[in-house]
Amino acid sequence: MKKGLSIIDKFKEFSKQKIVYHYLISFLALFVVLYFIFFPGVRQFFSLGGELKEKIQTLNRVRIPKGEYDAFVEKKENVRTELDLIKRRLFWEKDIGKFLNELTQLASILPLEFVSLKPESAVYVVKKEDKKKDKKSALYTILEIPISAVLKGNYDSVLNFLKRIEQSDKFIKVDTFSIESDINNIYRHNVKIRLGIYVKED
Amino acid sequence: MARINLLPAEFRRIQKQPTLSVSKIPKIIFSLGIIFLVVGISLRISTLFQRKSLNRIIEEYKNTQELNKKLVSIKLELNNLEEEINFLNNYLKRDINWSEKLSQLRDIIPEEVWLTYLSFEKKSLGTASFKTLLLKGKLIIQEKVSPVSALSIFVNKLKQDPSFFANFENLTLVDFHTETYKNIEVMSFFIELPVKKP
Repeated sequence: MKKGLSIIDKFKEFSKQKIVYHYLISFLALFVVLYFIFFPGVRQFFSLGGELKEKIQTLNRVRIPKGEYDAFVEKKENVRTELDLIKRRLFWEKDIGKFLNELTQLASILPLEFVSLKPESAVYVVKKEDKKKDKKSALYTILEIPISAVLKGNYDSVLNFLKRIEQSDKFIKVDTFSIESDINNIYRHNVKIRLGIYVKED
Repeated sequence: MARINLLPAEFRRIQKQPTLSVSKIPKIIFSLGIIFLVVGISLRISTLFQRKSLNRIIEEYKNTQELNKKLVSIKLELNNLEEEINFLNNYLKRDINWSEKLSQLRDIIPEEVWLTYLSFEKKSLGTASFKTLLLKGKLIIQEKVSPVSALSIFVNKLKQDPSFFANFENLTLVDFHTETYKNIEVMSFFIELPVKKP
């Protein structure tokens, strides 16, 4: 550069040189790349990376072990089946005739003589409550229907009758009983038995 | 320590100093720009993949939460079902298997004893109620054995039979007395066996 020029003249002369444009363009290009591409890219990369890491950790925390859900579904189905079987075994239909039929069938072939068979009025047992609802409401009510029977027979036939009752498909409760020997024949017994069956009322 | 070069100036090896000429700087800046551009574009591309993974994870998280909710409801339902099973099983439970118990009793009773009355009944004692087995019977008095010791042997047999006595709390000999039955001297007895509470 020539000596003795003012600063403005020096700048004007310098700006006429091609290199200045190279400087300007390269700085501008660098600025554009850094400002619009590089820095946002870096910011987004680390931000997404952090978010991804956090989500993976959260997911791992809440993730259900493989097969656990299916195992619970299967268990629920098994328990439901078991419950249905219990209900089928425990509860009788309200039609008492069916029970009396079953009882006479149980006593069939055995040398037992039915003297009397008397169903009594149903006794309220308990309410199964529905816990799902806020206010506990009855899911169903269990009623017990007592049946008093008087029989005559020998000890073996009484034992067999009790065995059949205890092994019956449907549950029959042996509430009380008494076996008394006949005055004239000690091998013949008068049997009074109070049985109970359960009925479900929805 | 100073080094002295004695060679004439024209023979001296000229040491090239790394120079940064003014004209090279824009090229360097431009190259830096390209490097940053490539890195920036690579980062952008990788963020695309990251976003894709993130969306997949968010989706999976939502599904897992949904599944968790279902699982909680299944567990609750399962708990209710199990509770209901326990509840109903209480009604299905038999304190005593009577056919078996009476069969055992028949095997224990000696020849000289016969039962005249046997009952299983509920008894109340104040506010408490309990179930009990009552046995009434007769014992033929034999010549060589005293009636009391014969009865004692029978009572001990009842008490010492583990399978028979398992369901009873204790054994009480309520009453015993001698009497004549069809011209034979017999001992009448009355035994009470309160049933163990489940």
